[in-house]
Amino acid sequence: MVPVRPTFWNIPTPSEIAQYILGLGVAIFLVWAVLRHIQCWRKGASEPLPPLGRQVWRESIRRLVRFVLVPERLREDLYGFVTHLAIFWGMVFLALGTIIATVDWDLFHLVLGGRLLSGLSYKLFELVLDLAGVALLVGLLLAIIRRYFWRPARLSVPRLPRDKWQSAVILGLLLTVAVTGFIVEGLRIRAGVVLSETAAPATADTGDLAEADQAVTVAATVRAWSPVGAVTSEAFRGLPLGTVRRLHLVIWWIHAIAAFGFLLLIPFTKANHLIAGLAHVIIPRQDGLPSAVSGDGEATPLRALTWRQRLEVSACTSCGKCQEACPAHLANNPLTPKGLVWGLHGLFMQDVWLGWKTLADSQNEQLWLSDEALWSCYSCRACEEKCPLAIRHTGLVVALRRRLVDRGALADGLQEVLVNLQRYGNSLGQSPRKRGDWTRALPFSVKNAAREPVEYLWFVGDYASYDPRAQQVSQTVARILHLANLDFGILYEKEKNAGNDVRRVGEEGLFEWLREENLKLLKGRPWRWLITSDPHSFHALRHEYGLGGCETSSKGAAARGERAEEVGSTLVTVGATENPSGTSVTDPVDRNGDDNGLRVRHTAELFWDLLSTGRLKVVRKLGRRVTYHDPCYLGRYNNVFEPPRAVLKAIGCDLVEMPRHGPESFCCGAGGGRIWMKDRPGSGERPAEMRVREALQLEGVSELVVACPKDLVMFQDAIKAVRAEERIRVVDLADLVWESVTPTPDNPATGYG
Amino acid sequence: MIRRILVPVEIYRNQVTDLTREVLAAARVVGGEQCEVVACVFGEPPPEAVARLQVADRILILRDGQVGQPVAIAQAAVLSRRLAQLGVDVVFVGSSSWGLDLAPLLASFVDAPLIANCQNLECTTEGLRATCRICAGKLLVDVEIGQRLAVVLLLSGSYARYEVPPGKGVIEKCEVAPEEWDARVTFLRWVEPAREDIDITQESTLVAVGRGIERQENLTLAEELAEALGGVVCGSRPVIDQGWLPPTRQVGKSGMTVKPKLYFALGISGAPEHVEGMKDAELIVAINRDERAPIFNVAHYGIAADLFDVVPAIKEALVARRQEV
Amino acid sequence: MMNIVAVVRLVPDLVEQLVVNPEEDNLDWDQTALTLNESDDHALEEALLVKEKHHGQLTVVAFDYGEIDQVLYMAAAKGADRIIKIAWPHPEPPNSLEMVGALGRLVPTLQADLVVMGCQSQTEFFGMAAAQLAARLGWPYVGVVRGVQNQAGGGWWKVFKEYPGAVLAEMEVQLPAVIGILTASQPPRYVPVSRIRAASQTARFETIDGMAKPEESAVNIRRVYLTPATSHAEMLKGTEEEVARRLVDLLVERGVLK
Repeated sequence: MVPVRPTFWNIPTPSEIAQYILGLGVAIFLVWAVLRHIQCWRKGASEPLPPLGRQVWRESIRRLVRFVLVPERLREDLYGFVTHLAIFWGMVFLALGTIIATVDWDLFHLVLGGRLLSGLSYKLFELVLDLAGVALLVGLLLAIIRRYFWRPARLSVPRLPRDKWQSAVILGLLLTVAVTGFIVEGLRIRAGVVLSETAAPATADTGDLAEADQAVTVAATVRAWSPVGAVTSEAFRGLPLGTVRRLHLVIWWIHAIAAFGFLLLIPFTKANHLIAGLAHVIIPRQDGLPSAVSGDGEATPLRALTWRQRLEVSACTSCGKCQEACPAHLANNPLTPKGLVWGLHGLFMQDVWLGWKTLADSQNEQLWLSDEALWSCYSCRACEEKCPLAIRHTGLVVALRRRLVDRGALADGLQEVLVNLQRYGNSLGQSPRKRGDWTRALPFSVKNAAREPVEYLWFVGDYASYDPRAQQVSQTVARILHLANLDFGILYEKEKNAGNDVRRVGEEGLFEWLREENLKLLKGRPWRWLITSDPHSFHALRHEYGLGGCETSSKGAAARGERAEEVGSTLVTVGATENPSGTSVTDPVDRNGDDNGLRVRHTAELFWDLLSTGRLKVVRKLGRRVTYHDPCYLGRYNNVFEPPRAVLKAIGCDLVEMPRHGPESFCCGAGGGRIWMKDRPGSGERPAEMRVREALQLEGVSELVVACPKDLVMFQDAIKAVRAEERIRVVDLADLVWESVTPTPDNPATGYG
Repeated sequence: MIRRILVPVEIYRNQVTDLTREVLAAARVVGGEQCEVVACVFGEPPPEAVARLQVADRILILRDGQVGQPVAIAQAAVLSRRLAQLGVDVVFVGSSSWGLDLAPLLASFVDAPLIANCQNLECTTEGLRATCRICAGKLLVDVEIGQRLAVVLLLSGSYARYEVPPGKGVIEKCEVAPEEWDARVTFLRWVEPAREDIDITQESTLVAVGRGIERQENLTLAEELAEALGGVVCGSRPVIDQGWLPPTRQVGKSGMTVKPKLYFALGISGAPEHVEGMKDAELIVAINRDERAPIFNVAHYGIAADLFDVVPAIKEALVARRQEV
Repeated sequence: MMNIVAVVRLVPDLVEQLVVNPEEDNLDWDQTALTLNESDDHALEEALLVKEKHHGQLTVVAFDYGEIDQVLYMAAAKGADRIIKIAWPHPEPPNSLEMVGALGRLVPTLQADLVVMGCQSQTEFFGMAAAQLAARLGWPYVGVVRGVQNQAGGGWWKVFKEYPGAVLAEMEVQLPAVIGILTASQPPRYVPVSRIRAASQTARFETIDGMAKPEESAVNIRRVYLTPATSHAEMLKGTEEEVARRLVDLLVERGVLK
């Protein structure tokens, strides 16, 4: 006889019916729960989707593969990678198996009178599911070992009561499902073997039961195709058939209840990352910051989030990978990105389930969502880089900070800076008329781009204009541009802070005003390239100013030198998308570096262009061992990793990488407006000092190369703080370039150690 | 020609304030020998106080009742009724918290012009010439007033070092009827901050820190220097506002005025409000990264460098010196 | 309901270098950037605190000179109920006498219980507006005040007058009164730019003509000039060690080392 799946063998009809009813009930509940989730997501503020086209859906599929099917973010954590793949694919196949089995029985057998799974298809079915069950079991055991025996900090700190019971229950239920699954299979096979050894059926019933017994007997003959089941069945050797049958029914029910239990718990626990995470990964999204939710400073933190943010928050599994990377957390600040998102997750769950207390960690939330914690963020995105669910923590911090700003609950020192920005256009409270004074020390004059046309419009930035240490670097950059014979100019007193950090601090209105003021100068002026040495300004200009955000400009137009006039005049007006009362729509952003007519360049990119095209010639190779610090806003935010390295190589420097380099670069601690805020007393070593120590570990490296004026200032202070002035100094990329290209060798860059 | 200058006396903590003594000296210097300097005391003064008024030719004591209460508006009203009969030409008032209320009110009550923020004065045949310092000390205005009753608010500092001979010191008492007293403002009590043991005005060496110290932890740098010098640490207003030092350590216009032998200013820019509190120190040494900081206009010696570099070096040099000796 | 009036003034912004006019009898007001007078900023904050605590109505008054509108939008965004501009169509800002005159005419029409303004302004040298306004109105006055909030009962209000060394004089004033604020009970609050911009759309100002008249003072200005830097420290140069040694030598010479 052809082996078929002996579904419902030994299961009395009432049980069978009960199971169907329960199953239906669970399904209905799940559907309702998902609808309830969707309802609560939609309560969030609006956030527009990007224009939906084929490109966008391709992106979604790519993300599905990258984050769900083969989670790339876990690859560095090989143990976790294997664990998750095992559990995930194990469950996927088992779930598929259940579906196929249901179709096989309910549709094919009961309705159509045939069989889907028979013979070879049945054998393969059994094999695959056995392997899936093994994978699941192995994955679960790995998970249990890590969570309960090794106890890594990211899982156990901070103490999450809600997480504790959830993890235990979910792991317990799944383990039960896996183990009982094999036991049931073993018992079924044992029964089949016993039946095949006795001539007559053991029950007096006829009809279906006899048929079922026959099926199970035949199925037992191919038990080699269910290897684990076969091995398990040996454990029941010697048990009388009646015992086997009774045990089988009981374990079958346990298995069913455990499975239903798990399904029921999905919408209440972090297991809903199966739904929310999937949705978050697939649904297309804007990469920029969402628009400001209009003022309700006192409402719960959840009210500050858009629907998209609510969605991503409910996908969090409290894995803690974000926390391991967070410089604020490592510097003992009250911020924990894990607590932040998990806390919001709890609030969201409470919202969904009508205030059920155990679904939040209210005591801890005070801490995780406190003003102090929110102000501690450096907006460096190290957390986002690590998150396996691509949750955007910095967006959440900005949304919550907007609430604080609305209430006037500003961090210490911030109010003065914001007032200075409003009055003087710079964060340092200096006279705007002195913004261009740093050019006076140069032996040539720098054009005023506000008055005459220039090809390279150089947006200098606050620190590069006013801080004496950063001013020297600006002068060096000017010398390089002059040497390369570029037609460049600066905006002098008309330039205002680009507003990047203002936005991260949550003062959206001030950001919009600064942007308007700057755009008055940038629009309608025929420049070809907008350059800056400040990565913060670079990011804002490239992504949040609507410049070069030309849907019409193709990649080709951005190529250097092509169609200059056309490119120069295709400046987009931003005003069209904003309404007069000042609340803005999310700005279109292209994050993946496909320059969408992007004529905004950082000087590191520019230097590489100049060197690689020969417009600047290397006169001497420096031959020194250096290390390079990737600025957050140049590297992680904008994927500009290669050009500065190419420059260093071209000028003959031997680059030694710090352990945390490239996308893993460790923030200097100036971002997120933190450079403006007063320090918390006694918060331990600061990120910049930690970073300097990292650099000091490298053999024979005496220079830390930076490409950001804030990095320069932060690391100089840090070197003093750790008393390492003799061993290492900070030097800007421009200084090294100048040293390498200047015709007269008696103008060496001296560095600022 | 000024015939008579009246100086309202401020008594604070049972003492005639240093500023009042300076204003009396100024009255003598400006008015000249021919001018009669009248010191007007509100309420019966403590005996030691009278001794400090020796510069005056006449000491007018207004009494009784509440006249001694530091309620400027009521005292101004009482005084305003007597200026004409006293034949006063000019009233000199010190620019203290009390004086800043008294002078303008008095000027309005007698419909006399007010010259505020006055740095120095000169008597001419036509009247009075003054130089006023405004806009946080950045702007000077030379003004002139004809022969008529005027009220002058004098800033401290310009006349502090003048040695003037004592006047005749005739004491006169004058009764004030209770109805004259404007009871719409009353004084209840003094509210003192929590007092420390250290009174920085009595220290001969002070090490002051300003914003340039950047963080509270860096105070130890200043403390070590102070210890090596045998002095104590004090600070400018921003440092006190941050809570890094108690208010009793604040030097400046709204803090204490100090006159130590040695004053070290670390990371202090030299804003006028702070300078006012320490400019009379005998030796001022300033350390600031910015060589254009206004503190260098007040200091005797300056070092334009990072205090985190220099202060440890100074401390070491002091220790070395001590070991040599 | 209590009626509070706060007066705000613009003064030269000292971040910029001051420029004197060619005649040397005034500042070159065309080249002078203006900003809100610091003690008026505190006075406004104190007024807001009083309004919030005692459920009052706050009227903000200013002279229509320079970019006063921005300041007034900020005041509206912070919670001012009514905003009155006193017309001033002259090239130079009003002086103390002119202010006292205009405010002295305006305030009685407002049925105010309490007038707060900064006790000083950095361009005052022949008048002090806060105190002299009180005298003009015949109202009580206390200046250099930190905190005017607590009601002591029966129309009496407590004020704390600042004295050196963080000492305060606790006093009581009978309303109506003028209070000259030096610092507010808490630092002036921050109002987000989005609120100021929203206020600029919705806020309505009342402009009052003819209140202010040019007035001459008996004090004649002979000359206005920038303060010359009188002296400068002797700068010690060299390496840290050199400088430190030289300094210690100096201290010993001067006899200041113990």
